[in-house]
Amino acid sequence: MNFGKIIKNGLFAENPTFRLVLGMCPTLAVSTAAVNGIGMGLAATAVLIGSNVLISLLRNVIPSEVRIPAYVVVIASFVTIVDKLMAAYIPGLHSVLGIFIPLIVVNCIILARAEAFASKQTVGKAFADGLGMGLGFTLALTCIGAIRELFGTGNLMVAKDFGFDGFASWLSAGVANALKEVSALIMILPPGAFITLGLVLGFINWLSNRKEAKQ
Amino acid sequence: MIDILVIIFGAILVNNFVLAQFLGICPFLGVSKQVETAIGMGFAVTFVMALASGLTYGVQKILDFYHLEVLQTLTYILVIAVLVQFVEMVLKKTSPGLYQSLGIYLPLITTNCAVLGVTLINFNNHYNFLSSIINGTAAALGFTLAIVLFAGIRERMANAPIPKSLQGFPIALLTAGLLSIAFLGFSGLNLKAFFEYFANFNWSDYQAYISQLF
Amino acid sequence: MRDYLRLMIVLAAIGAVAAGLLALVDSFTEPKIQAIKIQAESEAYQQALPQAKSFKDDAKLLEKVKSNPNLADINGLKVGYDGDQPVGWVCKVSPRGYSSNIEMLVGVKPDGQLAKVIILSQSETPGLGTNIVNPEFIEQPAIYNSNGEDLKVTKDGGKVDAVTGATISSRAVLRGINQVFGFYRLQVPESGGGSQQ
Repeated sequence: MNFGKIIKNGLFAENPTFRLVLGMCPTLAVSTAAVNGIGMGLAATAVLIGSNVLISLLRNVIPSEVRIPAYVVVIASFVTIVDKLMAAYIPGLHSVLGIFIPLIVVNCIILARAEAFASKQTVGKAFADGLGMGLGFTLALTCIGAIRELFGTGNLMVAKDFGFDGFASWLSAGVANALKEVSALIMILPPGAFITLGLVLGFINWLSNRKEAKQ
Repeated sequence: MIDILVIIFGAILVNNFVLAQFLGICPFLGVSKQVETAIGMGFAVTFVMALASGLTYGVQKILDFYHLEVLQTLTYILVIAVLVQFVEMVLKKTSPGLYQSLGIYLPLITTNCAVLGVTLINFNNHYNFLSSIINGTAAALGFTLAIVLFAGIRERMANAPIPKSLQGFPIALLTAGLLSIAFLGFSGLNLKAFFEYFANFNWSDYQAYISQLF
Repeated sequence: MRDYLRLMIVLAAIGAVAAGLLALVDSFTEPKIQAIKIQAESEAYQQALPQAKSFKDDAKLLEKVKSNPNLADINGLKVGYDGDQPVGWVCKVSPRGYSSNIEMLVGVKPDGQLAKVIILSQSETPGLGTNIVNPEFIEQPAIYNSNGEDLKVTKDGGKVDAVTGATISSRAVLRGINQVFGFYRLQVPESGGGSQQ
């Protein structure tokens, strides 16, 4: 398996949210806006890459009897580092994500990848897997965040935040105004998280069922 | 007294861990196919969360004393992991019956973000020792309530005709969404005012009114 | 026994390295985090009372405010100065909204006029109550042109337009501002803006 394939695997074939259904808590909690999804996803990606690489490096040193506590220590350290760096350099996003940054520690994706992949593979492959899985997680969070934000508020702030003012004004002039008429507040309230994720997972199932039927 | 009641009902109903704060979703979706297992999981979590709340309060005091706040996440998760292991060992030795019914859930609890979540919330809200334990227990009872209700619905759905694409996780999530809408009814409940009203309730204010009725 | 020792040593080594690394990161991020916190706070005070060049605590005054049950939501207070000249007060108020306490700073000038209202933090219902931070609500002229008279939303017979669907949050904000007016009257009883009874 080459690196590109591993990354693609994490993004689509084994997407941690849509396919493996791991790490549900942050997925549901911070997906009220697309920009939160990107921030949370990238923070988790940084932790995933760090922990995957380190655990792969140490795979011959850590005795299997104590591997889980050792992994937990490694992951918790990376999470604290990411937490501190975010608080120091991007305080705005840090306060939005709040308690969910320390909770990356118990995000099952990270421990699952450490156990299932990084502890058995070379450093390069572990890095690619961390990157792929992290980006897959980011993709999923951003999708859900964008859907909830668009249908809940009739707007998409992410375009503005990242400096695409032209795109943002096009959105707010055309699509968003039409959406504002039908925007349903429930989408950005807690129930909207469950419902959106349920429908998106259903849609993906429908797509793959159709693909199978064709073959 | 009112403060404690506010913490308890706030954690169970208003800020329900699963349905409003999204903590502990993995076991909520994973171990909720039968009411019986849901109850087992709920009680195992309650036990661990109450203990973890008390223990991390002490650990935080030690960290504060040595100015090691940076190690907070690391020590909390280690304390929880050790605690879960310890509970498992003690249960195995002292009450094999309970171990039989709870044992399989215990390892799952280490990665249950509700446990780490409640300890961090206790810290962020500056709860004292007693309030921490009460908040931990109440939050876990809220978790138990949600998971048992959810399991009850899923048991009923087991034989329902569900579209193929929605079977499994999607329909479970949609159901959880409906349950969450029900709990949304509690949001914004001003518990403090509610309990203060009853604490200061004075019958004599209403006597004239009631005597008018009859 | 040797096995146990080996396990312990490996775990302890990993723990020690992790702790060292964290201490290193902490040593250069912590000062920055504190600086951001302090800067954010002082900027907020500056915004609430733009006329002031510096701010000082007034413990005596705060004590007086805190002992007054009508001003229960005021939990912080600074006096703004331009040189040696006091140019107003900034009160930190946290009235109870719909689902959270709304933390805000209210600046009031020496003549009893409102300088500026800044909402620091709130977790009201997303999409409804959270709109109290929008300029359409918090910067509407009806709030600033009251001459120190207590504010009310139109539903209660006042002039302030509440946020659509969030009357409770809007009322909470006004209650916070009204307490600052109350504080001002306590401070300067003779120029109570006419609304005193």
